[in-house]
Amino acid sequence: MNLTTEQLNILNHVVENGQAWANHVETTFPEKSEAMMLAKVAKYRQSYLDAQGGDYQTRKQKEDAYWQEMEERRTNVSYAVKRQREYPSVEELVVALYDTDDKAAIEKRRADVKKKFPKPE
Amino acid sequence: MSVTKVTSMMSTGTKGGDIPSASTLVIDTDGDYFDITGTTGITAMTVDAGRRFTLQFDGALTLTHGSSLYLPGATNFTTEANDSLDFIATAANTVRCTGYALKDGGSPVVAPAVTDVKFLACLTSDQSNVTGDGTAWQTSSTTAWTEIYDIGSGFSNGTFTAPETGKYILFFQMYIGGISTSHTENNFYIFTSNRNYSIGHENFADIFVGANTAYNLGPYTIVADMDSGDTSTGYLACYNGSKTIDMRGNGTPASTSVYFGGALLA
Repeated sequence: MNLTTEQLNILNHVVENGQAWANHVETTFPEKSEAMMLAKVAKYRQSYLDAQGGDYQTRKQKEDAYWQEMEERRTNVSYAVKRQREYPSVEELVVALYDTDDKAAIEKRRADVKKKFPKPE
Repeated sequence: MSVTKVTSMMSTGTKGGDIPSASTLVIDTDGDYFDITGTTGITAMTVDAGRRFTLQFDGALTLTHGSSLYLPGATNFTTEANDSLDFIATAANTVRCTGYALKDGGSPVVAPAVTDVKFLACLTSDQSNVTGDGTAWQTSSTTAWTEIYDIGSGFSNGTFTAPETGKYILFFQMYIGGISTSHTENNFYIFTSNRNYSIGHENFADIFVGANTAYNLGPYTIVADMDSGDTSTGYLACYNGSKTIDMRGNGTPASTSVYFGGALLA
């Protein structure tokens, strides 16, 4: 779908990819896609104008920042947390108490995890 | 027998000069076919009684229905470029639209709003090894869906597209397999065009015991504000292990199958 620069900017204010949104609407509801697009642009035009400023971000930029923060939260944890995530479960430890082979395997897994996430000096 | 030539009732097919749009549009007399430029809405026309004429619109503007500007369906109509409408002046400054040729091939009569929108789709078959190492899986990642019902025709290939603006209840259940104790972190979302809803964050090591390697999660439910044309999908990503996790399906809305559904509330 052909969009004006303003229409595209307003859609990108609301959805992650305004052009992809418009193209999807055109494919899915061809008989009323133009009206759908115009309605969404009209609905969010004021919100878009109000949001303009030095630190303005499109929806995509906001989402990218969110996912980056989530990834950093997930990965930037202490060695202890990383070890805890991969240690055998309590259930497995209990079972291993009564089985020599299991116990050896559990000890190896714990050693491997410690080696993978060494304690900082 | 004498014949009286009534020129005012005849359409010559001659193209007149372009007419800028105006709230009261003056239909010129240099032709019977005009391009309407600009985007100013039209609420009335100045024209002699008996004239037939055609207007082709060069852009988007709204014609406002009224007793002196009678439109199909007795409702306002928003044009787009290259729409054409035929009119007859039934009296001076009183016109009726008698025909149309729209760019999209449709009708100026707006279709009644779809007020009944409901869908339920179940994953038809297992999708193997789709996540576990951080890879994201979405309902739109596969076309293997069994539609139990799809009133409003909004669901297709794992994506729901809202036919109308409104508040929608959406629900997403997952049945996942191939889990190991290393899959200790997982995120679930229901995505919509306007925003993403985080619906779950689990540590499978806290959930699974013994030999269990499969589990059902949900159904998770949200109420989302969606505009017509907006889309929604379900999302899952599992981390810290190998890509061995399956999304399991059997085409039924059972606890042992992934399913995705929703309905327009208001």
